[in-house]
Amino acid sequence: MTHPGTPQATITGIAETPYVRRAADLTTGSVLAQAAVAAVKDSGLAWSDIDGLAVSSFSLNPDHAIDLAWRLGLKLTWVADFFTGGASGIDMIRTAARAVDAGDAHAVLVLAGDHFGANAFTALTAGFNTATRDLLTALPYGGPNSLFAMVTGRHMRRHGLGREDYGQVVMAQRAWAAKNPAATYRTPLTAREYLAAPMVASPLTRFDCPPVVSGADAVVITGAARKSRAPRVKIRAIAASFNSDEQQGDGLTTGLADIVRAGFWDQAELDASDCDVISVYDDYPVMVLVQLEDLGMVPGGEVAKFIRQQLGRGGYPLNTSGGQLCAGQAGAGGGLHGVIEVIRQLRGECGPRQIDAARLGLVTGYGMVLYRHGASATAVVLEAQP
Amino acid sequence: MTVRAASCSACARVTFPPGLVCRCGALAWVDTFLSEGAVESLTTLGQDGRRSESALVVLASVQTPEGCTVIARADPSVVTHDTVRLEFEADALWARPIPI
Repeated sequence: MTHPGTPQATITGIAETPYVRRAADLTTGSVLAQAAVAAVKDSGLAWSDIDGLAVSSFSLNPDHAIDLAWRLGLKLTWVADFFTGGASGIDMIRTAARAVDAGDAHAVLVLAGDHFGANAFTALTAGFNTATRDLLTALPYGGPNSLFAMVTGRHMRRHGLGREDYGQVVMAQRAWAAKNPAATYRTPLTAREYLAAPMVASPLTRFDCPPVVSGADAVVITGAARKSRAPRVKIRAIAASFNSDEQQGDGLTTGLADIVRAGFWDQAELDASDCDVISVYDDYPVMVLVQLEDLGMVPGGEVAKFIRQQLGRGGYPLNTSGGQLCAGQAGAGGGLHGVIEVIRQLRGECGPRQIDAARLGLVTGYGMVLYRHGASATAVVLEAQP
Repeated sequence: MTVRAASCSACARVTFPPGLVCRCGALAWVDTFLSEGAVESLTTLGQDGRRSESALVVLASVQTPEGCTVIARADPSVVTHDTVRLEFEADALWARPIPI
């Protein structure tokens, strides 16, 4: 049975390009095209079957989704641009699935990714939005690292945590990354190495910040009745929240808390503990912990206990690709990275990092730092179809 | 230079940076100015290539009595919970210590 608010459309194709650092020979268009072709091939559809396109990219400028449709040779009945940052991947899936349900399109290609050439990421963060351009760039602020450094400082004080506790998040993900040949950082990380890493913005070091990479991710969404070559993945619950605190909160609660209060787990007809595999948007270790608490997966006030008794033991099925902190952050592609990893887990395609009998997976998105912290949050529960 | 915020003419809520429409739905604002606040969080940016204390970039999150939280560059002597003076200098918002 599906909750009345849940889309009926399913995910029938996925792809992720290699994540590459300092790739001079790539363009944003080329990585998006590579992911698009691979995802459609995975779905078993013909290129001409695609009649909807959703795109999220920071570096596609000055082009938009309609320009990309032209360059990709797609004739469409539905097209949309998304600018909700790390939340955009799930935001696109939600909207595209409803477009399919409504009959506005029959097969939607959802694309996210970026290529950042020399100095392009710095230029992006300097002119990210009006507030950043007018109030932060002149400080200078050094990009979002400094803002999440202050969020981390507040989190440390609230929960009585030390740097070594955030290191447990990074080390746990690095252990997964060691089993993912596509990850950027794959070497196991010790606590000593983590604590000795160069400071980026106190208390954040290099390993608390995801490596910027070029790459793209894609999914194909079709109606539940449409034939599919790849195993189908059903959307069990999906929700979004934007501008939940008007940038005036402490950043230690995200819109996910609103999503949960509005009945997300009721929509999924599950408890948080029922999920076999979890991908939480990990732009910084602190945000992993904040989101787990918002989702009800870590009881309020028990963050330290969770770190030491669950994460620290190893094997906890969280960000099993290594997450963005280890696999890399491909700009807007980061908003689909967790979706791709969870679907691979649900399809049993993860090799040495495969979670046994994974049937239900949770993915979150978070992002768009408007001034002090992220303003967008999304969540989806995915279920493997027999 | 002073720090301009906006106060809603209907409900008096203050926003920084100034908003367009208040959450109460009002469109009319009056200028208000943020002059000081309490430091609630600090960070020091990485020191690669910087050798002198004066070159350190320290940022502060500052809560103002008007209910706004702003990000400012801070004097390196500032510590958490300090009350600081807010002012624009060369296009950058600064949090300066208030002499006791």
